[in-house]
Amino acid sequence: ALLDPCGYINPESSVIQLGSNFTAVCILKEKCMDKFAVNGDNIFWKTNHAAVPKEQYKTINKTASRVTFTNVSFLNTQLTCNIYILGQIEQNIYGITIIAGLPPEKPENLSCIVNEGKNMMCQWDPGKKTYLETTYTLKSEWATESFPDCKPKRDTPNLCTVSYTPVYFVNMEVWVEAENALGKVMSDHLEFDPINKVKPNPPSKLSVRNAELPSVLNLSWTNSNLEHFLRLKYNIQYRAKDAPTWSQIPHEDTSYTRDSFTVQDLKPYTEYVFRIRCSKADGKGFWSDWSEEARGITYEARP
Amino acid sequence: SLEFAINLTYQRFSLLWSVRGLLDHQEIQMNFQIQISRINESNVIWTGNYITTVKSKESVHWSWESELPLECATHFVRIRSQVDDAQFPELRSWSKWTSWKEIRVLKPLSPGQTFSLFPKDNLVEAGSNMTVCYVSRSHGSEIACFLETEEIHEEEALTPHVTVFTLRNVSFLRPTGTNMHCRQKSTNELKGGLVIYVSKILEDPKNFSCETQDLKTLNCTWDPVAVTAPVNLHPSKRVQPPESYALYESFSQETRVCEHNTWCTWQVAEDSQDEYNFTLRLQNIFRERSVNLAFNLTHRVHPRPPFNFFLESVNSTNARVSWKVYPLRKPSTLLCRVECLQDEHVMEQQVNVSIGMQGEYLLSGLEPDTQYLARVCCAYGNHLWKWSDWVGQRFTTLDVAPS
Amino acid sequence: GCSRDYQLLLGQLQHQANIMQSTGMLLDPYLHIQGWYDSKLKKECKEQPKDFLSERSLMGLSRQAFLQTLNASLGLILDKLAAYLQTYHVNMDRTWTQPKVEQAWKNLAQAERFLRGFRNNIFCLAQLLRDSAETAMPTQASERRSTPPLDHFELRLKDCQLLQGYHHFMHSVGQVLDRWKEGRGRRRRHSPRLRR
Repeated sequence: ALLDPCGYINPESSVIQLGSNFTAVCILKEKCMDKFAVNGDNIFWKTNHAAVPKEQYKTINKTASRVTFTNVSFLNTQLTCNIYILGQIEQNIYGITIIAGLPPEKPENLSCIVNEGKNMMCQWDPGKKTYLETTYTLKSEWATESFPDCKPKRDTPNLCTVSYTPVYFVNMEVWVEAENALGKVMSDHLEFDPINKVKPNPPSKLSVRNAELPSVLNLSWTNSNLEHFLRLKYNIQYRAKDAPTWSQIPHEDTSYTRDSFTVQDLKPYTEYVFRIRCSKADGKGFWSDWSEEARGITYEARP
Repeated sequence: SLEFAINLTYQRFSLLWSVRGLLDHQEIQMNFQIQISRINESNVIWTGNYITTVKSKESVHWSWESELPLECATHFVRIRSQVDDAQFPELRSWSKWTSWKEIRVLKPLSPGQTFSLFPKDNLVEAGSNMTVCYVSRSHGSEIACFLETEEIHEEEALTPHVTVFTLRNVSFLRPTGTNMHCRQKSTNELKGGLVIYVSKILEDPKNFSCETQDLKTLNCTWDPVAVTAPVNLHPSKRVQPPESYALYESFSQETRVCEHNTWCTWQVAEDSQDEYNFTLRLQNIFRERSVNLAFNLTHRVHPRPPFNFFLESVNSTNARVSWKVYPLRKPSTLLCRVECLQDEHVMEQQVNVSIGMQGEYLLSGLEPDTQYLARVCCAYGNHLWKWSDWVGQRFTTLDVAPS
Repeated sequence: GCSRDYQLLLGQLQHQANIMQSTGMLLDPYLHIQGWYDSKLKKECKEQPKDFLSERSLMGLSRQAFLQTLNASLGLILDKLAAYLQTYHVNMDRTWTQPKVEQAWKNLAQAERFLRGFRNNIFCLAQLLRDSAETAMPTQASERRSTPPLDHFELRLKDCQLLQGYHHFMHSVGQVLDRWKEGRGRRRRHSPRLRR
């Protein structure tokens, strides 16, 4: 039959705050005291198999002993109450687990991004390590509707991708709630229109064609689907094949939605590499990644 | 007198008539010959016999399904009868025909409507043939009809205002049905249309199997079968209920309707037999499929995993494990297998610890201060079929106490 | 809660109305699902004047009445969408034979969320206007004349005509919102002062 414990410890297993004090009491059962001819004086305590110094505990009556830990610094320890049978055989009476840690800090620097075609992802700074099982929940809602809680994956506790597709042009409110055994706290609320958190897909099918003049090359590309309801701006960069640095077309020339551009003042009979990226014209949101590079060679100059 | 009722959903009309001259409580077998003609009385399209026992003061009930939608043509019915009973061999002569009874769908076209296709919202099984017709106030020959995007050519003018098509080997295109529509040739104006719901052919259920955890409840499962019911975006108008599943047990001759389309449970009666012969019946409005499974209940026990798994008296070289198992209905024993793993390497395996409801085992020869995984699973002792899932716990042996 | 920024809300509503003018949002996916997209029947989806208020009528409404009318119309479409999507969820394990139809269902689901967002913005703008003491004038919901039961073909035709009308209605809504943006709404020459 199951070993009927000869005593118990109060409190049971618990979670306490690092740096606080902790007291526990071990109480022997009468039948065991009689059977093994022991009492409170015979109790000795151990933490993870190491004996607790005698000064930290004392007998409080015939059946019980109290142990005290000040300014707790251990994170996870097994506290056991033990006796010696016949004065020499060590016998464990009971054991509890003490976990120490910190309440969660207010999550800071909450930020969100909507990669085009994907669901919104938000991340935050959780603050100090808590040493405890701490759950973070990303909350989101409209004025008229709330959305399912977003629970981060175990391997990325400070980042969450929501389960619903983004709806542009509707302001939403987002915040993070952090909770563990020692407390619960909420981040500041972020209010935004997801359209202003978009990272567009880069322009695709970038291609280079010769123009009549040897100093000119024509670029063309396909914009992402966002072009149907957003004004875009671009960064267009180019360099001669072996040049170490990129030159960039002036902003004012690429500040509106387009799908082609004529690059001038190029050296004749030279191979050039081009790349392009786009972003929301009003500057809200993120730049897309750079497109695939495209190459072209200017014509030879006429003699 | 001959009475009739029309059911347009199934394109069927039912007839009701009575026989005069029978004495009270008299029963007599009679043979009724029924003739059906279409458009006009002389155009007989069907003749058949119906033999039944007629009781005094009771009406005779008979129905007939028309392949041509009833909205598209008036039908006429007449009956004659003949006594077909050994008690009255002398009365075998045929009676006179009744007068023709006209069976007409009143106003196939609603007021203001100039054209309509029939049958409305019909459901057919893939691969079958179907007759479609339209009624048009204007002359039928000026109308062109299309099945999806293909014009339909084999049409037959039943009357100047009624045209009939036979759609052969109708195929399943999409769950939301096949579209047919007709246009005025001269103006290309849309005259009307139809949605034909085509039901896939019901398949046989596969991998039908049953097992029990406790000899009280049988859990039967099978692979999902392709859904055949069409999809209708207008819930106000039903088309066809989805397939239905039922379990029939031949010894008890009981049937149980299943709510789920891939599993079903069956309660085993207290004193019932061990041998079972189940039939899984899968049905839609066109077809029934079934699959059989015969087995001995005690050969299909897959016990639930043990519970209350405890490790106690862990010292540097031993550990005592104990566990409980869910009871089975009949007094029986479970075989339990205890394993002790260290880094996925099986350190010790014990078999055949037969117990009633409680298990206990001493793991010995362990290494001090080492982490192990102790686990246990059980199977039905009388006839091993499947082991239960494992249940277990990690533990660390104590360090060797300083001498 | 709601944004208190009148111009922001108005701009969002304009975007939403513009996006909803495209038949790719609702009518086309519906036609793909019903099998009408590649057939001559698509041409039959002509809007019916009785389904939605004309642009002229919309222009004559107060802002509150306009928002209420818009909200009611979106509600009508949302109810239809909810019924369609209920069918989809009930048949989730179906293979839909064509990838275009599978994508069409996803588009309808996204349109439904988009319309709920649209109504969210209407709610917020109406709240903002209420706070600026513009009294609302309830519009009569058009009473539903009882019609003989329609068969599935007629229901499909009626629904596609409604959706076509809805996309055109969104064009009219866009025009009205443009006028609000230019401050030439029916009664107010400027954007409403917000009481602090």
